[in-house]
Amino acid sequence: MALQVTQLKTDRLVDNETLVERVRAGDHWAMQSLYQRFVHRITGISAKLLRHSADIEDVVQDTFIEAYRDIAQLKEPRYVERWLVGIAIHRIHRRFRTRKMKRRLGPDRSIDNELLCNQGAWVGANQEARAELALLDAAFDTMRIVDRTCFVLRFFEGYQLKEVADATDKSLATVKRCIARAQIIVDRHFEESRHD
Amino acid sequence: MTDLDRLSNLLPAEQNPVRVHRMWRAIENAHHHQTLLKRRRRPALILLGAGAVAAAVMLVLFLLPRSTPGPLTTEQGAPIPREFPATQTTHRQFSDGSALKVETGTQVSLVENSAREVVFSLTKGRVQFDIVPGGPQVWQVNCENVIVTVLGTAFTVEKDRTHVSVAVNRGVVLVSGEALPNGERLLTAGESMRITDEEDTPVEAEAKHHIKPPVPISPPPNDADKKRQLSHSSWLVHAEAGDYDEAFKQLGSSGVASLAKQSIDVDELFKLSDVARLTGHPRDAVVPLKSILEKFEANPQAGLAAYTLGRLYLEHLSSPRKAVAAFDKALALGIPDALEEAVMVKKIKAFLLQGDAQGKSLASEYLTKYPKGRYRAQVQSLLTAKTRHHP
Repeated sequence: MALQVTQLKTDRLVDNETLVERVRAGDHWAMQSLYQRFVHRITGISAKLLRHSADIEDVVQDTFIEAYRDIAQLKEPRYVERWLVGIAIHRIHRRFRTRKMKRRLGPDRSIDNELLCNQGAWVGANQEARAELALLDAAFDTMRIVDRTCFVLRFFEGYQLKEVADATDKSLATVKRCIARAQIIVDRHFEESRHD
Repeated sequence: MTDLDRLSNLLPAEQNPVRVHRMWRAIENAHHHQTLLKRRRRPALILLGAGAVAAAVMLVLFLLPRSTPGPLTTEQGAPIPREFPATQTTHRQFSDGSALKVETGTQVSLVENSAREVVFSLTKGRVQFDIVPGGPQVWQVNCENVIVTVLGTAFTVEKDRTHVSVAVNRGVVLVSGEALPNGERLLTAGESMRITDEEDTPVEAEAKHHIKPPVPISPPPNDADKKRQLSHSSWLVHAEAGDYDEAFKQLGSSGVASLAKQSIDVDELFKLSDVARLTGHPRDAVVPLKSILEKFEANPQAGLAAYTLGRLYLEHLSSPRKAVAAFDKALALGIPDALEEAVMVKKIKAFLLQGDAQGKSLASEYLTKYPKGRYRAQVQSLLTAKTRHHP
């Protein structure tokens, strides 16, 4: 039997608004589709900030569970990605506050087992590249979480300053200061390594 | 200043498919239980704080069996490997008689193997599946934005950077993904589908294009008619190219309706309906489908037309009563086995929207008939919800 061929271009995606509408209607396919569409973004941000596998997965799962629960409250469905990132950032910061509290109460036995240099290794980064990522890890270790968040969103996720401000619920001026502080720390770490 | 662009490119843009799938399963379970807890509104839970509710959800998740007995093994009884060697073509036979052939250079992983489902993640390359029908497991192949769900069939899935192809030799598969009209498409034996990022590529020499151009209608057209027909033919060209907006612009609502009355081609009528639906004109999309049912009831695709009509009424036109009638028609005309389960679930939703008690009894029937159904979680939450709710 001759095959019937149907060609479909991927640019005929269901738009965000329709997808959100269908999630609100309880469409299970739409729920999974929303997840598939944004899971890489949310996991990528979580991985760069948290660098601990169990925390990363908890945050991603909690983000989507909260999103499905509260999706009726999303005012502008076309900005669902921004909304999801906002939820994830909020949960990431909560996770950091928990870690900080644990450290105050006693030794923190959790190990960051998904450092940036390890993440680079998984996609075949060479030794030199991993060494650079290790420097970035060291720089991140000394940053305040809010500075790290703004820095990652701006330079690793390609967000504009206004988008970073929306995602972190900070003013534009604060975001600029956070990024500037983070940049100084990163540059210092790389500069010091060049002189070693 | 540090070269951050370069550093950013050193980090993975996409996540491990096993992890993505594992997280999805956890989310799905948690959402289902959250929905159940919310519906029950137990006084004891209301009194507790949000943290305790979360703890209750986590406790339920912990108590949920992660896997039930009966995952597939190899023919020899050994566990199925998670990865397959990319350096050579591999044949594997499984304990239920199913088999697969993984071609050289393919990257495919087994992400789930339980009594309920067998799930592969295909990143690159070509895999041929030969699944024994009637088994307890649902087989699924995930190719990022495209998911192929199988219930006993022989088919091939191929993926590279820019396209995913599915070709069915025997049985039926359900292909779902954002690129497909309404999110899913059934493929039966002899059909194939290619979802691509590329510009239009020539169709393979051995494949026939299944859409024929419209036949001019006698009496011989005058100039106005000729112009209209040219415009009608060009709608098809745009639709074939995936430009449904332009196709609908060529036709308009009146064009869809008039062509639907004149057309003698079932494939063309389906295409007309797709053009109207995908451009946000669900009322116009109804006309060509009704035309198929009126004029071509004996056609093997008539059942699918009724099913698609039912989905339009239910999901886009808020007409649950008409949706039920269309789904019943689909069952009467005959639809692939793989769709019957979906039809049952949609009828349940339609009844519940009308506040009809048949919804709850049908839901119980579903849970008995499909103990490992794809929509089990959804139906269970509908069953415990209030009888009347709105989309």
